[in-house]
Amino acid sequence: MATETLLVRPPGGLWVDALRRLAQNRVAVAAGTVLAVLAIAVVVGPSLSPWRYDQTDWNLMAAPPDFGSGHWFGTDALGRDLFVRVMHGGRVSLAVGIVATLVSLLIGVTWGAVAGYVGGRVDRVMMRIVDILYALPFMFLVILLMVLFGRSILLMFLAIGAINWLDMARIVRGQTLSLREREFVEAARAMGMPSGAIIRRHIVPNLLGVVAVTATLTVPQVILVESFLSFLGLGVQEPMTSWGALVNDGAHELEGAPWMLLIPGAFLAVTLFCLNFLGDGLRDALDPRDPGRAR
Amino acid sequence: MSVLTLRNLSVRIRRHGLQSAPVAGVDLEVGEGEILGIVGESGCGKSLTLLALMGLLPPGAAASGSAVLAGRELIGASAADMTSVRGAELAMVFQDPMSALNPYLRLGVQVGEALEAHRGMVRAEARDAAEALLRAVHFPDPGVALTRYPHQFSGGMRQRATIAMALACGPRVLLADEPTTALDVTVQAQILALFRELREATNTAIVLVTHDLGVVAALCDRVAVMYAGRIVESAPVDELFARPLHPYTRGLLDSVPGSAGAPAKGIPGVPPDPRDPAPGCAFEPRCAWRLERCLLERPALTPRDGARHAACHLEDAP
Repeated sequence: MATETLLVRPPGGLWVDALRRLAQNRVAVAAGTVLAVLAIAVVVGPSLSPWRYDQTDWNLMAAPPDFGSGHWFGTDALGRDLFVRVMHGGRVSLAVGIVATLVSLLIGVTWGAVAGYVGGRVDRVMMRIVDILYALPFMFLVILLMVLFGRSILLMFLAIGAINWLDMARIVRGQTLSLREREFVEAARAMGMPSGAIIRRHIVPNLLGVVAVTATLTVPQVILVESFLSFLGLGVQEPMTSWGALVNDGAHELEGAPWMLLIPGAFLAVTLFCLNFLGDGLRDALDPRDPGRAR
Repeated sequence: MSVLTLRNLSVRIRRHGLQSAPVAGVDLEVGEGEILGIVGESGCGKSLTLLALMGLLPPGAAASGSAVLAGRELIGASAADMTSVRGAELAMVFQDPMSALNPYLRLGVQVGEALEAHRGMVRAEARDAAEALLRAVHFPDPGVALTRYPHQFSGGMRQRATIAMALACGPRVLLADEPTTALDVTVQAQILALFRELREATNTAIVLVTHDLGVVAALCDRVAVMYAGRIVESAPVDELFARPLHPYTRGLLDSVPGSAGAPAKGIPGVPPDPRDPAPGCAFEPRCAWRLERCLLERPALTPRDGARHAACHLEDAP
């Protein structure tokens, strides 16, 4: 059955094929749908509520969720509408997750693939640089950046991404080292392909499965790092918020007002779950040998 | 008219301070449109000789001597020069078609790749050219095959695809490193027939490295027998099988299990360690006809009757 569909399948690029296979994976499609709904919700959500994210309802402080009052998710200790705050926080968390992951992907894959493919002295120098950056305290680096360039959300995104590529580079380099020895790479060299083309055409596509999974694991990591920075006063500042910051606030009110922890926590957890399922589905979909097992 | 001439081609490997010369001075000529077989047991330097020609030796290995391809010296050429030679003038087919194709690339892209690199074709042109190439190696439906991935083909079809890739730019010489070893016998026969047909059609010289004498007999015009990094005998294929001059060649022929039920004899002993070459004939310790001078004096590859060469102190067939 699989081969028959392949016979009539029109040609497409690697990504077109991967999306076609991904569309056959029910779990991944469900995860992707949930993520899309979340993304739309955090963009349009705040305009559905009469409250602003920094507006205090003096009558209802730390109130439980109640549809009658207009505070669908309740309010926080300062009487601010939690629904609006969760949506606003989602913007920051999702944006930092995506931007920082893209930055780490771009640097990490290029760095790791070049080091692994070229090998020898180039590899040693490049990986020692990674080791040195690893050894530097991350906080120190971020604080330094903040002091030098002032505090901005974009800078924070880049700083987190610039730290996370180290893991990616190591993973990619390890994979590249084994790919380099594969016969099809030698065959490509025997065809007179230049090194750059071999890395782009032959090495990177074979890395995509591992990279997709690592990237989806990086997103939650980055979201947590952001909340940690916010807690230290280096990330987003009150009254702006993020999911990590909301969870942090809610943790202090756990006994009296559990919704303040549970609601943003649930959003964070659902997002991370969906990302993991999507990453898993992407890995399968990116492998042309897997004809799509979810059927 | 020879298209490829090797003179004293050597490969030295230095590792952990130890030096060895697995290829120790190969002299060889390949004529235009000729199919030359190189046979010998594992580790005699066959594959390294090919890799040295391609400039694809593993790290730590260095080639010396001379290899001239259509007036162009390959040994010591710059990396950029070798990149322009590889795939264009000199191409290679590998042993295992299962791993010689990138699982992530459609056949069309992969087969046309060399044309993009060497002829400056754009993707669409290379695709059309790839279709013609696949047709030339008898893919039943090349238009469909272009859109498929390697894992969707059998070993034989994949080997056809790698041959199509190698022939894309019309190389002067095609190097084939045990191209049929990983295939079953019926497919093997088809691939050999394909090589023969391509030689007729394109006049590409083929250097076939193998340890299978059956393949040599079926395909080659001429055979070179390699032992311990040197050519010990070369002869037109019929003459070699009818009357081997070198004791090692004789041993090789006797090692083939006869279909008449005669048990294979094999050659007693093991090849010498390339790290510790003896001054005399490398085959001397295993040779049944050894003379006193064999121990001290290495025989040179000298012309014998007809178009034959042999490196042995014995004047004639033992």
